[in-house]
Amino acid sequence: MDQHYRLNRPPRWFTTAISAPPAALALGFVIVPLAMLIAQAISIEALTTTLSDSRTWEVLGFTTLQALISTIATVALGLLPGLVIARSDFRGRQLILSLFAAVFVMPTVVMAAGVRALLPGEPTGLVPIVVAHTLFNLAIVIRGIAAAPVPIDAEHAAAVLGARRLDITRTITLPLLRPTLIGLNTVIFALCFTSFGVVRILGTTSSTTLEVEIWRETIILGRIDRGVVLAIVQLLTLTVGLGVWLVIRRRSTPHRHGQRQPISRRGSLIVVGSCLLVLSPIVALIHGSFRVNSTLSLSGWRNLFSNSIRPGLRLGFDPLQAMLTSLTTAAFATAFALIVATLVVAATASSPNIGRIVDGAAMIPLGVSAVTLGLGLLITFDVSPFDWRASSFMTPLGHALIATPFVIRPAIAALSTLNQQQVHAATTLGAHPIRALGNSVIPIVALPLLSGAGFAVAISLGEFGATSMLSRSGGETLPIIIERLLSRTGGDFRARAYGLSIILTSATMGMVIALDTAANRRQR
Amino acid sequence: MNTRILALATTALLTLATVGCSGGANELTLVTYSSFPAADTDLNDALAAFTDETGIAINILNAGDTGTMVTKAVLASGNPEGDVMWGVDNTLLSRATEADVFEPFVADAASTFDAQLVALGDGIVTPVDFGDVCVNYDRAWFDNSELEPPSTLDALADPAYAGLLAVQHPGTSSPGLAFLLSTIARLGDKWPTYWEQLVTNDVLITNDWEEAYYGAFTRAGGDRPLVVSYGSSPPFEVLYSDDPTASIAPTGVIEDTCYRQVEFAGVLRGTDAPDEARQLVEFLVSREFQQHIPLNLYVFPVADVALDQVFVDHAVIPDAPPALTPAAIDAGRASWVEQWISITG
Repeated sequence: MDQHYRLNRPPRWFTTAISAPPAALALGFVIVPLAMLIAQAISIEALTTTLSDSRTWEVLGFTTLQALISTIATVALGLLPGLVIARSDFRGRQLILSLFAAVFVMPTVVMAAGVRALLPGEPTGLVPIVVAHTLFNLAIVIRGIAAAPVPIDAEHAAAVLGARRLDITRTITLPLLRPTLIGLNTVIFALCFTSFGVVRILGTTSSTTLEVEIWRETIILGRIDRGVVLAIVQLLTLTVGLGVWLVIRRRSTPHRHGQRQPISRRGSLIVVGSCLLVLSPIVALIHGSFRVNSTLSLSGWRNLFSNSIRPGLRLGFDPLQAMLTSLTTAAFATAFALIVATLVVAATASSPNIGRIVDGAAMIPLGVSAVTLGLGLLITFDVSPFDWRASSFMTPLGHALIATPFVIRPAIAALSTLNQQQVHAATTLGAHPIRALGNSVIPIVALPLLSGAGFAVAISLGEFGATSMLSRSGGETLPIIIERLLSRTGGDFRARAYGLSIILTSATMGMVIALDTAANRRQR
Repeated sequence: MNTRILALATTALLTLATVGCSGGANELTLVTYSSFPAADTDLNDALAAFTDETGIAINILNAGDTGTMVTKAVLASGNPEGDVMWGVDNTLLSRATEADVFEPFVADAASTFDAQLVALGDGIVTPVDFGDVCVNYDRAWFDNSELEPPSTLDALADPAYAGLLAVQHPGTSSPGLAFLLSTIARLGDKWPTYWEQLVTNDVLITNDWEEAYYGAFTRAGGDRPLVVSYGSSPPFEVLYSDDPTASIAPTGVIEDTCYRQVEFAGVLRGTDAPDEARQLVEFLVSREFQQHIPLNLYVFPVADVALDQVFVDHAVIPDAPPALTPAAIDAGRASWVEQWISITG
């Protein structure tokens, strides 16, 4: 039987050819640089002091704890609205889905300030960190489920037969959605585990993540060797943690996404509620854009795209130019991530074992410390003709590497609903194995891939932390400009920064809506 | 008179240098921290004038914040990302020199600068600018209160000022570290006791400058009228306000709390154009370039150039604030920060 199936599979050269580019990218731009830095910087002394320091394990403990709680909270909050949106058709559905993606590009400082405003006192530590992570990542759950194959028809049949709503969700929907949920869990867990910006602002000396600790050791204290040891601890822990998720069988019974229904009253309440939740930081943003030194002012908006402070005194950067750079960078990063993700998904479909390896390799950028990777790239690509240290393509490439796992995960999850029998039948009946596979796979993964591409847009447009390690000559993106405006004294710079964040948020929504529309058209 | 001779000498030197290395590199890469403007300011115009004069184009490479820039330079020592580095400061200098990041060179013009600043460079790098990290206060808040603004570092520990001060974490923030160093430079071994008193006095610790200045500071709507910021913050509050001719700045500086940060420029070891690189360092400390520093980089020039009136009116520039040597800072930093954490944590 197995033998027979193997004959029906695409030839080995095909699998190799499509696996090679993503594997080479992961090897060349992640694994080798990391290995180079470790080889150059590590020392036995750093290894023993760091590993015997109780602080290392305390930080690891807190990192894991906050990531687990954040993941559970995010999935718990996002599950219901995600299901409602997946099941229903209503006006403004795409607007709402793009709104969730837009939260992703909020500057961390603004989100942190929003969270501070929501919670009493001057909060730092576990609670504000979890709240900020939840608000940021809610989008991943809601959009992920909304793009997943929810078995609406089966649910409907069960309801007609008299099953209770809760039982239907528990016995039909959730088991069938398991691969999607596991995929979402892994991405969110990895993001929270390696969180930097949020924790740098809302964390304390004892409640901090390994990623922040790596940055502190490497950049602030100049102990690159200890930073490298911590980066290894982070990568190993995350690999073990994610490995457990990935090993869990992600097979699901083949099923189809049924016809969406009109939204119920209760459903609309749930959707509106979740919108209010993610809107709160956006409202804080709008409010901030009209305030200069705690008085109401339009000055920030009037000077939004101005690159001067007053006549004769210039900012030294051009917000409009930065906006264009951001958009072209996002377009490149998204296209790149989409191509790599498609190759990984195709490899997984044609050979699950090879696919799993390539898929795992593509996930590595999520778990690697950005500080470490940035320094690794610096010492790897430092010899002509590969002296790419300040090349203009490094930033978009960095964005693409970070975004790729987000495009891959939902598609791989959807792939588990593939009906293998159907592929084999087509091949047995004479279709070429590649064509048979393509015909069955493309309809299943197109929607999740394009929806993931929407995320890639948001990630690239909002990216500030990871790629700020890279050197550059000009080519500032909008988040970098926003950060620089926020760190200037006096004037209306803060209001300008908030205004530009709103522009960035709106641009994200626009691009996500465009991609979602394309995805939905594709599905029909 | 003196300055004219200096200018002439510099020009002559530049001309000589240009002649001396005709056929050398015609592009130099200047490695800087992220707040150095990449284009479109008077600083960039001055660099363009240098290009016109010498035929050497300047490519500005932004290497991240100062800490990131230095960490990268240490890793790339001998095979640098550029030819000249601008902006390594006295808290990070030792880290760079210990890794042999620079090829020793001090600009000739340095002989006319404050000798104390030049000495910090240890014959390896040239000072290019300086600035002070100081406690700022909100004038409006103190005008409406019965309290006078504190005038000394010790006064901040006085129970009368309890709950009023916001500082930054020295482990995550550059001004935070500078303020800790200020207490160490001024109080010596007694600094831990002082910080215990600040803790008793309910000092607020934020992770970075923005949170303190734009979150906790009363002027931004917070509840702390005292905040660690820069000696140059008040003139910028005036300069960027609706009334740039105001006679009194909305914020003031407590001079006794100031800690001086000095920035240096140096020739990166491994450059393939050492002569042109030296020429560029000479230009960076020339009056032609130095005069544009305050308005664009928020720090003060080392060369003898007249300051814009707004700085004369509103900036506080202490004469000789206590300082620690780069070597002492490098040796003590990690343990001081850890001790500080155990006191405040």
